Amino acid sequence: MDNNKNWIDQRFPLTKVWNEHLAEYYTPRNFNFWYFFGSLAMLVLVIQIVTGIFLTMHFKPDAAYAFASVEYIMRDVDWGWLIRYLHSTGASAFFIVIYLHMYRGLLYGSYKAPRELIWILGIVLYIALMAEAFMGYVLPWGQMSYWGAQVIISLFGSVPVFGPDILIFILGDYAVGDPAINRFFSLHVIALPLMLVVLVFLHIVALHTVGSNNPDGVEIKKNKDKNGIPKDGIPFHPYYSVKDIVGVVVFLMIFSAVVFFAPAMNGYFLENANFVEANPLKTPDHIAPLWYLTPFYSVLRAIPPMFGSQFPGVVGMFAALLILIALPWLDRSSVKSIRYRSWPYKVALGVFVISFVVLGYLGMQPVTPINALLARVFTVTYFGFFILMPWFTSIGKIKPVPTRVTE
Amino acid sequence: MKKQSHTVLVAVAILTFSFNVFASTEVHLDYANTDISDKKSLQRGAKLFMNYCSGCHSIQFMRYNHIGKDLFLDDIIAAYEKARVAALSNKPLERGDLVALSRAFDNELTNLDQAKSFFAKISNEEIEKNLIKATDKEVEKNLIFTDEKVGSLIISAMPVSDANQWFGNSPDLSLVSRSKGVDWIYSYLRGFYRDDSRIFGVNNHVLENASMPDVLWQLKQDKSSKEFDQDIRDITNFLDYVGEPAQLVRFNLGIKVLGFLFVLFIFAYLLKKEYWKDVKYGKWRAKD
Amino acid sequence: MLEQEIDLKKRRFLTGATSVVGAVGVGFVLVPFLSSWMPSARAKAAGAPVDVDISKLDNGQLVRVLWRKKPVWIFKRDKTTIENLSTLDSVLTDPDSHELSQQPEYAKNLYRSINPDIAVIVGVCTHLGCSPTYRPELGAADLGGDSWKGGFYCPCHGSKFDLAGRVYAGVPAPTNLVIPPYHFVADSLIRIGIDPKA
Repeated sequence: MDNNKNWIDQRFPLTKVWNEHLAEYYTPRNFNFWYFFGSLAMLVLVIQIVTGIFLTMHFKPDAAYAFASVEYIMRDVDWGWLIRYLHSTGASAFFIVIYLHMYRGLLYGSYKAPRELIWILGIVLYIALMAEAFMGYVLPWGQMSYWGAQVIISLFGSVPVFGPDILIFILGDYAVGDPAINRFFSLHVIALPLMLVVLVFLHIVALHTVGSNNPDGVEIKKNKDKNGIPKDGIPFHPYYSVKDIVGVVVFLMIFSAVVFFAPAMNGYFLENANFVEANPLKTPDHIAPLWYLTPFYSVLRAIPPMFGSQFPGVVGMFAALLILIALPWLDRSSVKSIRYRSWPYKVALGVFVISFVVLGYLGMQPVTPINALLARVFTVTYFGFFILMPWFTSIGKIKPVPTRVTE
Repeated sequence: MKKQSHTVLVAVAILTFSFNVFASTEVHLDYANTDISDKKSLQRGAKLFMNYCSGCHSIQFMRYNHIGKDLFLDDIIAAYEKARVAALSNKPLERGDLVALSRAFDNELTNLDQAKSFFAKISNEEIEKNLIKATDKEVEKNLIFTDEKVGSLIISAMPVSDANQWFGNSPDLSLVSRSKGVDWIYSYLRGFYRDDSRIFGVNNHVLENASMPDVLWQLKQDKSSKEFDQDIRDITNFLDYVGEPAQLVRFNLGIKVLGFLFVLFIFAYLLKKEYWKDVKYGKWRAKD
Repeated sequence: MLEQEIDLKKRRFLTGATSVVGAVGVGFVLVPFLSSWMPSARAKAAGAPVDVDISKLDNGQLVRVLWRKKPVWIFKRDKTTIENLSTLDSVLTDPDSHELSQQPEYAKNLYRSINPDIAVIVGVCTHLGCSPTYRPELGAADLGGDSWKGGFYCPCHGSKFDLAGRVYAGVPAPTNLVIPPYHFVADSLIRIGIDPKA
């Protein structure tokens, strides 16, 4: 055994990697509930990749056959229905997990120095994931796939001057059709997954360089014993590996409950209209993107056309996403964790969460005057959170931060 | 051939949709009260569908033998099991028993001794194969009124172009339960009323100006309203099954999966608790 | 605070138990994924039994049908051909069809068929899967001259088979050609894919 290990270690740093990233990677010992979602996101990524590989074996990326091939998977392929539901539920689960993971970052200031790069890589991951999910949703070629694609891609057409050309370039045609589904398929199964895997790798490398933050926002590396081991650190393996396994099992229970008992989630995970094949001649009564994209869709709709162009809305929508990158520099507070922050930050975070959820809800609803007004109000508060952050993070009384983590 | 089926497919999709044009979202829908686990209801629904609906409507993603395996195989197996137990315990065999055994052996059996000698030499695998064959025959007898094979997809006997000409459209119903829901189907089928201004003399409460004739009027006339509602419920139930055949298995499987995960959870939780004693009792606390 | 003794036995047990249950779970998960590679309902429907009408088949004539995406030959052997079959033992690898996997029980005879005059053979070479050509002519010069009593010749690697699908000795193909399950529904109607009734 030891001989084999030596043989490998002389050729590949197996023991070194194991120790540096697991057995001797010291993690704060005070992680709470919010710290499960990083490993869960990795789990969901694996589920999506594995189920995706198997779906790809039966799916036909052709406008004429795509819809039928999904039903073929649901009926004719042995266990195809399960693989498909795992994948479709996995998509929504991915976003639930990621949103909670990101919220954790906001709660405990995980984006603040020295973890800015982890945060930025995370935001890029999030945007890549949205693109991945959007293209995946086009593939079943139902009415929602088709018209959702039509609407989202039309956004690019609103770019001044080059818009119409960009549109044709993206579609490879004059409307959403066979070239679109074919290229989205390629991006969905190869390009974006590769990018996601690489980004996850970088995200973790960056994390392991600076070490994890924790609910107290205390740098455990500032307090080391004589062996150079952080006094508040515990090795990731076995302590957090066994803890994460419990998290994984609990997650799988909830996940299975959805897969087996409510895979369509009452139209939220699989929309009713998407069980009708794409039809370029008839738009469904009400189009909405899937729930995880709706906050940004709401921002898009909230911003009125200006100078006869929808472009400001598109800019607003992308700004709502990209502004997240600036977060580490907008936050002027000297403390990280919500536990020691001043009250203005707590209020602002509350308002932000409410804005995000309400915008998400409004994005699923048809536009009515009252909805439009609400969307505008909450778009303002959404952006307000970021724009006013330098101000509200520098006022109010912060609590003293302990030197060591608390229980 | 492929090209053709593709055209059919697209045409059907378009039809399905134009069907939707007049759908109003404010129509009151009755509660269908179907039970997907009620096999007898599904069997009746399948027969009713094949008799009254399949002339014009396809369920193009469904195969005859898939329905056979899901809805009829259990009965065949149950009959066979009953006969087998009777034969092995030397009870006199009834005619039904002999029929069930004959099907499983694919051989005419007339008495107990013959059955027993067959049990001696036939393998379980062989029996299983023959039970499926018997199911296929059941399907052929009950559901197939054309010269289709049991493995075929259930395409309407009426060419789409004809359907177009006669009724304007007759959509494929494979997924109607998923796009519109069971309550809609139930209410629609019960929602026909007399309206002489329409070509077929009927109109529909749920789908204003539906171009479908009230094909079930005969049933409505011959049966009590309770029986008629049950017939509609059976058809609705069947279409719910057709929309997602996996419904028949996923509930039971889900319970097993959750049970398994619960066992795994107990072990994983105890394991975590055991290791975290170190943290709790200070093994990794600062040694200062 | 007292430092507790670590109960290594308990840890080992719990680690083992969690791993075993977890491994069983992974095993369960493999089932649907691997099953999805089995022929789907569509493939099975396409692989359904095939009926062949042989009422118009002349002596020596061969028809090809597809069964489960493989060519199946149905041809009629005349009296001379049938008689010739018993003269070839010395040049064949397995003249008595000892290799049981190559034919159903009811075709394990000199003719490798139910009726001596009607041959039903899967036309796929047992070497590497090419489909041999039909060479019924007696004494073909390129196939050994006078000793050639008619048969099949595989263009890929030169394997030779006689008119009962039996492989010649000294060629790449190791075994006789496969006889599919089949039976006579009527005198002149063959159903390929289903055995005769027991």
